[in-house]
Parts: sequence; C-alpha cells; structure tokens
Amino acid sequence: MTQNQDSPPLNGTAPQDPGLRPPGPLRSGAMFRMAILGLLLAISAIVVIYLLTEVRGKLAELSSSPQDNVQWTLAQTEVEFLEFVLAVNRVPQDGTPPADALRQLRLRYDILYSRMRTIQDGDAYHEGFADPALSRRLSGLSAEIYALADRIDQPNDRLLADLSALRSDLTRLRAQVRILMTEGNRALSVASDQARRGVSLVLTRLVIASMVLLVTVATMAILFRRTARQSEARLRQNLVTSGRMEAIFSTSRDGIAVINAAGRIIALNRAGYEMFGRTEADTSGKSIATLLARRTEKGLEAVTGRYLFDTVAAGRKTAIRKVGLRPDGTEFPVELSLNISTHERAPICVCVIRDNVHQATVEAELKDSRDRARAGERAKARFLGVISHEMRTPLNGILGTISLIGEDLDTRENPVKELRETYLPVLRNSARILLSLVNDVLDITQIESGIRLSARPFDLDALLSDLVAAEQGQARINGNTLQLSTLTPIGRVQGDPDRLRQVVGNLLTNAVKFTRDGRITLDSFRLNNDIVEIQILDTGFGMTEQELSRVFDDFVRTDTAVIRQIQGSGLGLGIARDLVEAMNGEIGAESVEGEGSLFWVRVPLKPEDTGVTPADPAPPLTQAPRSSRILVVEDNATNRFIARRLLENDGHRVSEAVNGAEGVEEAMRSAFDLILMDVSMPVMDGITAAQEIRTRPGPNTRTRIVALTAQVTGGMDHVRTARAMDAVLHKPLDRHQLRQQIAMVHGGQVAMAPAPPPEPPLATLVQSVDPATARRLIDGYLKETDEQIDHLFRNTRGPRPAGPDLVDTIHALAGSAASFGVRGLHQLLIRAELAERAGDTTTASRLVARAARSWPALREEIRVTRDALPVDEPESTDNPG
Amino acid sequence: MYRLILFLMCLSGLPLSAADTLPAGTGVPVLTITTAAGTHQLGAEELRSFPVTEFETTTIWTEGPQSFAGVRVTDLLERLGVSSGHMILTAANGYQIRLPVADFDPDGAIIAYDRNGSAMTLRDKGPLWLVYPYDSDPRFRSEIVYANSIWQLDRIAFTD
Repeated sequence: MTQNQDSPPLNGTAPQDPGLRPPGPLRSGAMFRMAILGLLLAISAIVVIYLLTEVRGKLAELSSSPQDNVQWTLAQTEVEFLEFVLAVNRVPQDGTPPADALRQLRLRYDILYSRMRTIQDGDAYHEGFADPALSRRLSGLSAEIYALADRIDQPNDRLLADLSALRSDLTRLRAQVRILMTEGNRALSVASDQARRGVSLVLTRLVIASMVLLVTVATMAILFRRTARQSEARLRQNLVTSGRMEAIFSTSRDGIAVINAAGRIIALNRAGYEMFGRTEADTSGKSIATLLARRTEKGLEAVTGRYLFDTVAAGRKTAIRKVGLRPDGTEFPVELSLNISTHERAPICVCVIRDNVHQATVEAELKDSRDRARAGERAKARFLGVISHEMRTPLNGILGTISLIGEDLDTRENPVKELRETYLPVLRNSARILLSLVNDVLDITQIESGIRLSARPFDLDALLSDLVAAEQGQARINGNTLQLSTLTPIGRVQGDPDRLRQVVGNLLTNAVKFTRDGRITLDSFRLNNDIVEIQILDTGFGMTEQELSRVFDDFVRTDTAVIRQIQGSGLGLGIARDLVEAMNGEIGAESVEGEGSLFWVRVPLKPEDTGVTPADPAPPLTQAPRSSRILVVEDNATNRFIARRLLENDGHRVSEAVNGAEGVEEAMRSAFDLILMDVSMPVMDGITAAQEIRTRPGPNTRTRIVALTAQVTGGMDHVRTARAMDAVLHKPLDRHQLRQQIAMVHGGQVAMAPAPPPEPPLATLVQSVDPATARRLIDGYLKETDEQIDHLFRNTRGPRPAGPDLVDTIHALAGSAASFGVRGLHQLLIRAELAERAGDTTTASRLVARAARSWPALREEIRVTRDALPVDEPESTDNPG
Repeated sequence: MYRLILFLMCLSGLPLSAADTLPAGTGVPVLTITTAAGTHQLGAEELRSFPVTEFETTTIWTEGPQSFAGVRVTDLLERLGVSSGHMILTAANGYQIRLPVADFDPDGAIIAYDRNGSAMTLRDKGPLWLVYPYDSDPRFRSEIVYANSIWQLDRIAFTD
C-alpha cells in the first residue's frame, strides 16, 4: 500500500501548520517575475548576439572595404587624364623630333587606359557607379577613351598630324571626365554615408539591446538578492518557529503524538510517554493502535491512522473521546484533538491527547461544590421558612395580648391585677419561646464556627441512666415506657460527657416527642476497644424515606412534626450531627413510617483505666498541698459553705464573695493564689468578673481563675468561659479535682497522675465536716428543697407569676442539689433552668414537675444517709445560708 | 651556400660582382632595381628566368577569378641578399609605396608578369603587378594590402 492510497483527500478543509507550509503566493509571484525576466534575458541575449554578428559583419565589411581606395582611384583617374592631356600638350608643334614627347604621350595614355579598365571592371567600383545614368556616362567616357587607342597607336607622323584634333577631343572629354568623377565621388560619398549610418544603426541597436540586457541582469540580480534575503528571513523564522514548536511539544502537559498516514508514530512528547507509561523505544515507529482504542458495540477496537485521518476529513477535530491503553493492560479515558498537516510533503496527523481522568475529577468537584452551594441556599430558605413560621406563633401571642391589654386599659376599672395575673405570663412565655429559637440559632452558629471538646473521664452508664431518668416524666405524659436496656455496663470512659449528653439527650427527647403510647429503649454496647454505640429505638410515628434522608439537615421539620404541632427549630438533629462529627463519630437513623425509628450514634470512647480504686485512702495526690489563699465567688450559700469547708480542711485560707461584683472588689483588695468563680451569678456573672480581674490593675491579674459551673450544655457561655478562665470544674465539687487545681497553682505535677474516681458528693460532704454539721447542712438542704420545690411546682403550672424570678429559684435549687450530690434532681433542675431561660415554659414546667415527683424518693435516700451519721454530738440548728 | 656568401660579398661593395649575380639586362628593361650596391635593369626575360610562382585569386579591381604568374618577392629578396630595411616600389604613374622587407612572406606577394596566361601590358596594369593571393587569407583582404598592390610597377629601391 502506498502512502497516497492511504492518505485522505487533502482539500481546503485542512488548514496547514504555518511552520510546515510550503512556499505560498509570495514565492510564486517571485517565480513568475523570474520567469518573465528569464525570457527577457534570453530574448535580449539573442538580439545582442544577432547584433554582434551584424556588427562583426559590418566591421568586416569596413575592414575589407575599398571605399577610400576607390575615392583615391577616382581622383587618380582625373589626375591621370590630366597627365595625358599635359603629355599631349607637351608635344612640340615646331617640328622638332618629338620622339620622347610622343613616348611620354603614349605612356600616359596607357596609364589612363589601364585606369579606365580598372574602374569599369573592378568589383570595388561597381557600387560607386551603380546609378544607371552614371553607369551610362562611365561607359560612354570609357568607350571614347578606348577609341583613342587606335589614334595613339598610329605612327609618329600620323599621330603628330592628328594631335590638334586629339587636343580638341580631349578638351571636350575633360568636361565629361570632370562630371563623371564628381558624380562618382558623390555616389561613393552617399554609399559611404549609408554604410556608416548602417553601422551606426546597428551599434545603436546593440547599445539598446545591451542596455536591456544589463537592466534585465541587474533586475534579476536584485530579485535574486531579495529572494535570497526572504529565504534567509524565512529560514530564521522557521528556526524560531520550530524552536517554539519544539518547546511547546516537549513542555505540553497534554500528550502530543505525530503520526504518519500509515498510522505509525513519528513522535510522542514526554507527557505522552508518562501518560501511556511507555518509552521512546516502545512507541517510535509503532502503530497508534498500541496507544489508542475506541469503544464500539463489539467492544474495544483499535484506532488506526486511517480512522484518524478520516475523522479529520469528516470535519471532527476536537473532543473526540477514546480509550488510552497502557502496557500493563489498564485503560483510561482520553480526549483527542486532531489536525492534519504536511511534513516533508507527506501528510501527518497531530493528535493532542488529554488524560480525561483528571478532567472527570475536576468536573465531579465542580458539580459537588455547585450542589453544596445549592444545598446552602436551600438550607437558608428552610431556615427562613422554619424560623419565620415558628416565630410567628409567639409574636402573634405577644401582639394579641398587647391589643387585649389596650382594650382592658380602656374598659376596666382596675386593670393592674388582670394585667399581672393574665397577660404578663402570656407575654413572658411568648418572649421566652422567641428567645429559645434565637438561642438554638446561636448554638448552631457557634458549632459552625468550631466546636471545642473537653475530654475527661466520666461514667457512661450513669450519664445514660440520668438521661433516661430525666425523660421519664415526659415519656409518661405521652403514654410511653422508657427504659435503659444496657446489658453489660460500659463503665468509665474518656470523652466529652457534656457533648455526648447533648447528643443522646436530643435523640431521646425526639424519641419521646414523636412517640405516643409506645416504647422507647436506650441501649449501649462497646463495638470495639475504641468505639461505643448507643441506640435509641422507638415505636413512634417513624419517617418516610425522603424525610429520613434529610433528617440530619439543619432547619428540617418533618411533616409529622408540623401536623402534630410538635415544637422545635428543626436544628436539634443538625446540631447532634455536627457534635458527633466533631467527636470523630458517626450518627445515623433507620425508620419505617408508622412503625418507629432507630437512631444510633457511634463515638470513640476509650475505656478509662481505673488504676486507683476509690477505696484507696491516701493516694499521693490527696496529700494536702501547702496552704494557699483562695477566693470563692459563689451566689449559692450552701455551695459557698461546702467549698469553704473542703478547702479549710486542707489547710487553706478562704475568702468569700456572693456575686461577681463583690468578687472583683475582693480581688482588688488582696492577692490570692486561686479564685474559684461561679459562672452564673446575679449582679455580675463570673465571666465578666474574671475579665475585670484580669484587665483591671490589681494584685490578681495573673492569678489562676477556675470556673465553677453546673451547666451541662456549653454554648456561647462555654466558649467565653474557656477564654476568660484557666480551667472549669463541674459542680458538685470534687475534692480531688479541687486539689489538682490548687496543686497546679504551685506548679505541682499532680495533674499528670491519674485522678481517682470522684467520690459520691454526699460522702465528700460527710467526710469534710463533722457529723453534726453534716446533719445540720442536710437538714437545711432538705427543708429548703421541700419548700422551694413545692413553690416551683405550683408556680410553673400555668402562667408565670410575678415576683422573684423562677429561674433564680431553679438555679439555686439546682446548685444545692449538685452540692449534695442529688444527681437526678440536679439534672432535671438544670434542664428546667435552661428551658425556662430559653422561654420554653412547657418543658420547664414538665421538668419541674418531674423534679417534684422524683423528690420524695431522693429525699428518702438522703435522709437515710443523714440518719446513718454518728450521733455523738448534739444537733445544731445553725444554718449556713 | 657558397653562392650566398658570394652574393653577400657583392652587396658589401663589389658592384661588378653584383652584376654577375643578376641575369644580364639583355632585353627591354621592365624593372629598375636600386640597391646600396647600385642600380640594375631587369628585362622581361630575366624576370622569367626566376622560379615561377602561380596562383589563382579574385581581386577587387578585376572581374572574376584571375590566374597570376610571377616572381615571388621573397625569392627576389633572397637573390638580392636583402633581409632588412625597406623596399620602395614605384609605378609608371608615380604611385609609390614603402614596405618593410620583413613583411614579405614566402606564401605572400609575387611580382606578376602574366595574367590569365598572357603577359600584361601597360594598358592591362602591366608589365609588372605586385599581387597578393587575396582569396587564400583574410589578412590579404585589408585596405593596406590593397594599397600595397601596386601595378604598372617599374622601379624598386632599397633603403634602410
């Protein structure tokens, strides 16, 4: 097969590579001019050669011309005629012997005769006497002179006798001779002139032809020179272009293959070698089919050179998707751009090959970010939808109430009572609902800006148990049974209990919310050494598949939630998801509509090594550190008292302040080694106070400040606390943790040693004080709680009453519960406080109710402990409050 | 060789001897030769006693080819023992030319006495005519050669 048969028709559709383009119109124009000049040159040369021949002929004619001789001859003829006449005239007439004179006469005649013959016969003189009249005249004269011969040849005496007649004849002839010679001369002059003119004409022509020749040669020389210059410039340009092409070829990130019409690879660049995993040795001269294939119905089919050329001829040049082949048999998608050019007069195909894997990845990334952007837009829309819908309810309540108040003010005589008892609670409740919504939003904003985890050892079983206990009340209200079904206790683990509590609590609350007259089970088990799985199973309303897929998105509310008017911001599960992810865990759900849901959480919770048993009476840490000056800032009197006792028992000096403002004042007055700062206090909260102590000039700007908090949830306060203070201790106070903090003030290394498990708070209390004081404290606590819980229960059962803020009461009661280790009550009250603060009065009421219901049982437990105390000292009625 | 030496001796001042070397002037003298040694009259018969050279050529003064017979000039010069200097030739009508002796070639000019087989007369450019073989060589067809072709020749003189 020859290349021509294989090559596609190279018509105008294939633009040619400028670097490989053959000479274009410019060169052909020059060629045309050259051809014309060449023709001109040839013609001029022929003309010049012809003229030179002519000139040479003329010159030969001139050199052999007898012209001058002829003129001389004519002149000579006349001279010789006159000599003859003279000789005739010299013959004496006086009778003296004239022999000598006659001899001279005859000699002169002979000479004249000879001359006339010469003129008449000589070729040279024919031209001079070509004119017929002149010729005739010459013939006449010659004849007359020849005729004299007979008279000259007569004997002397006869000649002498004839002499006078001869003289008169000669006189007559003389005129003829004169005319003939003059005419002949003129004719010769004319001929000579013509000859000269002919030469002149030929020479002129020769000069013109030579000039033409010269100009032609000069023009050709100029043209050649210009063409040479253009060629040189083009060569230079080609070198530059080919250098540039070479650079593009070798540095291109796409593979570039150059193949000939037979489909053989002429060249492949480095990117091509890398892309196809080959070397120059395995590609050069090989068929393109070793690199490329195309997918057809019959499977992979080799790509031939002919196929590529045909593709280009058909007008397809870009975005040609093919399959690349590597020597190890792997395939990868490629995209080709093709073009046909010529190289050394043979058609070549240049293929730019792009590895499409990368492009596919980029496309996927683009798509992903687009989807995310859309999802963000949808979330925003959902947020606005949910929030505005949820906000409308309390806002309508507020506006409605305000208009009712307006009417009442006009109509009633004593509107104040009605205002306080009926309308204010409604307004407050609505406002709190609004606040709760805003808090949720703030919470998720906080989470999005980064979640801080504080890992520490905690008892997972207790945490779950507390959560189940806290939800029992609401579960009962909805007719549900709620149980913790953990078979094997997991025990103490290392993790962030606050975050975990938030997540599991949320799931549990949801399960209770969305189940009526059903069963809710909380289960936990260890998957492996690291991971613990917690499951919440309910027999509630369940979700559709579509709802299930979106349930962890922000601001998503299910149809069930909307129809059944179950309140919420739609953020709970979104927050839970974020928290679990922050803990490097997983969260998921399964559900069947109408039958129930299963939510599960898997989080890394390593088992805590409890190297030191709680029974160990004297761990090294518990050695009393040296005496320190400590300021306790705490609004709750019981907590203050317990803290003082714990610290004084270790030999420290304690100062007290009842709120943040007082704490700051105290800190300005004297220097302390450590400040224990309650976070949530009236007048000035602990965070603000800590910031003041830090920033205002005083003796405690660098003193270690430890936060005391009963809050289970962090939120904004948690972050601010962490910023303002050095450490956080959770209430109820743990003696070991307290000692660690004091040790850290003194640069102790106790923090590095494993901490023993916290003792039951009540036991701490009992060990810290003498039995009598303990009894007195316990009694005071029982009395306070008896009163307050009843008060709370009543005041939360409807519109909130005026007067001392319920929240403060709940807060105080929760603080006391923490101090006395009444964990169940503490948890419920904390949550009630949070709910009340958030304006969720329904939840708050429910939690307070649960607290009130659980109180008698808890009270009984405490009483048992109290009664077990030794009674060797009389009771005191001294109350630390 | 001996004759040549004798001839040279004649030329160097032995006029009586020179007369011996040339044929004696018995007939009507047609040519007068004047050399440094003296003057010698040559008759037609004496000229015809020289080796005869013949050729045929056209001339510009005649019509058609002419055959000439005469004495080769170089033969005459050799006989006279002249190898340098100039030769002054004079015609009956007083026409005179002066030529270097060295210009003459053996295949060049002759002093012709016969034209077309008969002796030339004075009326027929005779009795002697210095002709060149014009047709044999272009160098004989120049203006100078034509001017040198003296007819009605009757005197030759040699000078330095």
